[in-house]
Amino acid sequence: MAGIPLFQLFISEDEVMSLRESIENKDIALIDILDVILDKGVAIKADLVISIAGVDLVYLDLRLLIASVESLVQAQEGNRKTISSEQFDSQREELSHATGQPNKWKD
Amino acid sequence: MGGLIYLYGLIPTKEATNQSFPTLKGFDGEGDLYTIHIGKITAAVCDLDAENYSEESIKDRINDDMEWLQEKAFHHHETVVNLSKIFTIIPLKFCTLYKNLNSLETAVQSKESKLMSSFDLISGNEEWNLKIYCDDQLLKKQVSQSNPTIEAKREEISQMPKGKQFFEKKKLDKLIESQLEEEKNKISEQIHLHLREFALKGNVKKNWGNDVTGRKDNMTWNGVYLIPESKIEVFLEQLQHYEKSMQKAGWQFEATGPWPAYHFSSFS
Repeated sequence: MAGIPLFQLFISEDEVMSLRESIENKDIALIDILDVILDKGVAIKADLVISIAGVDLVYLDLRLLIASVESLVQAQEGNRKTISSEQFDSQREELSHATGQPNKWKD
Repeated sequence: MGGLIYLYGLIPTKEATNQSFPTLKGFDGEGDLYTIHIGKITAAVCDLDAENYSEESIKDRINDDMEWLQEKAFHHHETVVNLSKIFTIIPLKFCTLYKNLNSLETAVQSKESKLMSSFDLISGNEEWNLKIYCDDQLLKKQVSQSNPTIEAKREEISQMPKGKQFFEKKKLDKLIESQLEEEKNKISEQIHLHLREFALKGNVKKNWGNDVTGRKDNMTWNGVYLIPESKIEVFLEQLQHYEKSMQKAGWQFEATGPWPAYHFSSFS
């Protein structure tokens, strides 16, 4: 999957810049994008499995995303280990705290 | 109910007020992007319903997350690229969220001077990425053939008794292997230093393994460069030159760009 082009970067209107234009028109793989937009880049194990090393976040929410990606990694490695209920609880608390919402999951 | 603010990027207010802001769909595919002026800096944002980021929905996403991640990563990238075509933009990383307007304003205000100098740095310049790949087998041949010490050693080994040959060959392989790595690094670094002459800045990133790239040849260099617009063509010509002269020896050059200046305008 990593090699499949998935996205086309924008097209230049400048016809003089042929070399540049030809590169701009090339397809960009998802993995190229992830390596740029995720803070620490991506380190791939197999079949586009992502592990993110210490993503530096301005604010909390990405941690939830990371948790889900990590779970995906483990699932794909055939070593499924979903997030423990304690981890879920602590993330839920963080999220409720951060958003100022009433905690719906209060036991 | 708390609404989150998703921050895509920061734009100089001067530019944001001079040009109309495009209509772009937000992260959830429903609302549109809008701007928030915070002094000299304008934030390009969209609202995100905190409700949709509950544990429940995230749990659901875990099951088919790759699809979600792909869609949202594209959305983020495409949106920032679109904005970068109109404005000087400091791109933010994927899923940079603020819990309310106040927290966003505070974060931007506290870094105003740093952000303003970031605008100066990236304005008129572009970020480009270069990945260099090498066919180790081809290069290995060259290394082992062009090195007289290795050649002599090989000749010497061929005269040895079979049992001894085995171990000596192993040793020789190791020697060739380490010389290969050294050679690859040396060549890549020379190219990097040469290309940096055309760039304002150049950084080195981690190489990806073959399981990521899906290629047979190995990535030997992953560099990002901030290049003045006027020098991009020359930069790419140099690359083309390298490609032409080194392709037969097993070298490949892959450039992508222009990227929003993710590597040269940190907000964190």
